[in-house]
Amino acid sequence: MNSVSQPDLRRDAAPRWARVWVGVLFTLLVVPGLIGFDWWPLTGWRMYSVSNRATRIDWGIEARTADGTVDVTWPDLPLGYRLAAWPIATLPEAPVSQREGMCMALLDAVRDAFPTTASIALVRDRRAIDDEDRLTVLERERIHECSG
Amino acid sequence: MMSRLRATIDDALFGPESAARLATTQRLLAAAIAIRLVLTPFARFTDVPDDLVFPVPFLWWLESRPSRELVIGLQVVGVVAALLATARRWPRAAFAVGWLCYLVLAGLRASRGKVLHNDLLLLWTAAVFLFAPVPHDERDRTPSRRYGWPVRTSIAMMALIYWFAAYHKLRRSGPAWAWGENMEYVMRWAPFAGEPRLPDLTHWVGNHRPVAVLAAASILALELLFPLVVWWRRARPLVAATAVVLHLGTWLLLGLDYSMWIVTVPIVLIDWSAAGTRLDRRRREPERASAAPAGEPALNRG
Repeated sequence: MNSVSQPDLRRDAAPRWARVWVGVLFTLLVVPGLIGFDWWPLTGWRMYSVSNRATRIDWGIEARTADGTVDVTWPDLPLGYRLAAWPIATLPEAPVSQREGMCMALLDAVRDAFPTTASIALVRDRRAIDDEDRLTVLERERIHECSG
Repeated sequence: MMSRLRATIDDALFGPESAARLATTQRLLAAAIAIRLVLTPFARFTDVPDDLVFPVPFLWWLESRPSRELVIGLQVVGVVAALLATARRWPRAAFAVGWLCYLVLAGLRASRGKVLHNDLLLLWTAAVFLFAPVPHDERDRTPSRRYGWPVRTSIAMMALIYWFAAYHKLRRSGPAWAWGENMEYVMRWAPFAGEPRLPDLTHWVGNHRPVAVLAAASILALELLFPLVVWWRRARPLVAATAVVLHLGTWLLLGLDYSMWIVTVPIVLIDWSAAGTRLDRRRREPERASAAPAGEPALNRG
């Protein structure tokens, strides 16, 4: 005879509240996962899902300094500013006040890296990479400029 | 048919695991949270002007970046709680406090206008353990359904997360994500988009199409096949090792830090309590063999 009696078998089960908790977690994981939307920490897990090509759109900062025009690279800026390309990408549809606020916020950080900066422009670049792995800016659109 | 499917899913999520495995997995997840909280300079994200703060949805009530003192305070509380959970002192409460501090701090870090996934695998798999039972005997290796669901569910969630990554690659780019020129250009753009640790190797992969395609196909295959670990235990160490290599490669070649994924996958997929027991047994074997009287076989072989 089996040493585990029926009541013991029933007791050796995940409790009902655990099933509810697992159900809630799976719903929160599966719904954004299938649809592909982000509401952090809910996410669609779409990381790096768009194929790369020889051309791409990049968002950045152009600084006018005493030595001429400089393309600021993100590692030039403090850690907290290095993801600013993503909010800059939303600026074409944003009101002027929001563009100016973000531009001025970035100007201070750019001045720490390039002290002679007189003004900056937030830019949208269409860039290409050639067979020699050299970068070319094919087209530049200045989204917003600020100084002060 | 339906009842069989239901039983399969039920077993995948709520099947038996030992109390020892549950406690060890939760202990290691808590240690990973403590390490992340110690090593990440969360306070360096506080000196960002409000115009560059875009709170993640659950932090919508934040009107500006919290003070440096508050962030450091959360970090200290989180580390202490996670260490207590690692030491199995008030495991449930300590784990919850450590996880909550980690969630808020990772949320603050992610409040910069870009969706960050770096911390999400650990946060999601650890979330399952928030209500994990606390076994009376944490060295008990008898499988039980009472203790199995947190481990089983976290494995299933992890598998689903990897599968979703492949699903969206195929949905948005199709098979060309692997077979096309995608990975070549990922590598060739990398020096302009990130900070590769091995730029020469990044350049080399980007200029050798078969290698780039092989790398992309391996990534897609790993993500698509990851759910096998839910039912196929023997595949877990290999899948864990492959995932570690993938994320390590991403860091070396592209400079993208997925260190918490490197740590989380082996913690969840491998039964470290069983591995510890096996190691312990192997260490004791020579002692027992030498202690056994001549002519008698040593015990506990195999």
